[in-house]
Amino acid sequence: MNEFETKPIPVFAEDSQQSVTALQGQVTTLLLATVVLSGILTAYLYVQQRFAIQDRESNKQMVGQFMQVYKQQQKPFMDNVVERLREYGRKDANFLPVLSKYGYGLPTATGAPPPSPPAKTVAPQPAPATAPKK
Amino acid sequence: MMKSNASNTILTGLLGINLVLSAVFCFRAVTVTRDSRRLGREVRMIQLEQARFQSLAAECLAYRDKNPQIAPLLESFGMPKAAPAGTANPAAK
Repeated sequence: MNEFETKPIPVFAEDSQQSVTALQGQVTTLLLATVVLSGILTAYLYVQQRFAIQDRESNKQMVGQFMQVYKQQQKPFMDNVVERLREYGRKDANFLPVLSKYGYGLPTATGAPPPSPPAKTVAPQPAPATAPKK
Repeated sequence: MMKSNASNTILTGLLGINLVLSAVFCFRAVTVTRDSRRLGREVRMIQLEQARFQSLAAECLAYRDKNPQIAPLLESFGMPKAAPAGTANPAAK
């Protein structure tokens, strides 16, 4: 009986040892493959971010010059023109629709003045009304 | 057995380093791309403003044909003078 009980153990141990070794080999192979693939992905991402940085730097210079010219030369000129056209629009009411069409309408002449005088007249009314209550 | 464990540990470490580097590069690429898009948006806004202003200038020139009183103001901005006839030249433009 003792012989039957002791004999299978070495066979099983040897068999399991082989399978463990095979599994370890597979794990190592899989790990190696994963490392290689992730290395390729990392290299790709590195190249992409380098390209993105280069693009941004080149665009930044062009956009910077463009915006500087716009802010220092064009914008003041445009603001001046629009302001003088608004002044003209105050004299010539027929011109106001042209200004309003492009969003340069008079802030005081287009929509604000008609509502504001009633607001001013309404506002004082509650004030006296509250004053007597006090 | 020990050799296999050591190699697995090294490979796992390399994998971890790769993952961290990938995350860093990915984050930088996203950040930089977002920055580039913001610059592009600002340029588009300015171009839109310029186009709006040019449309206003064209409309002012058209308005000058109806009401010549605005002509001196437009000429002070450097806009072309109206032709004496005033009918054929604006059509040619």
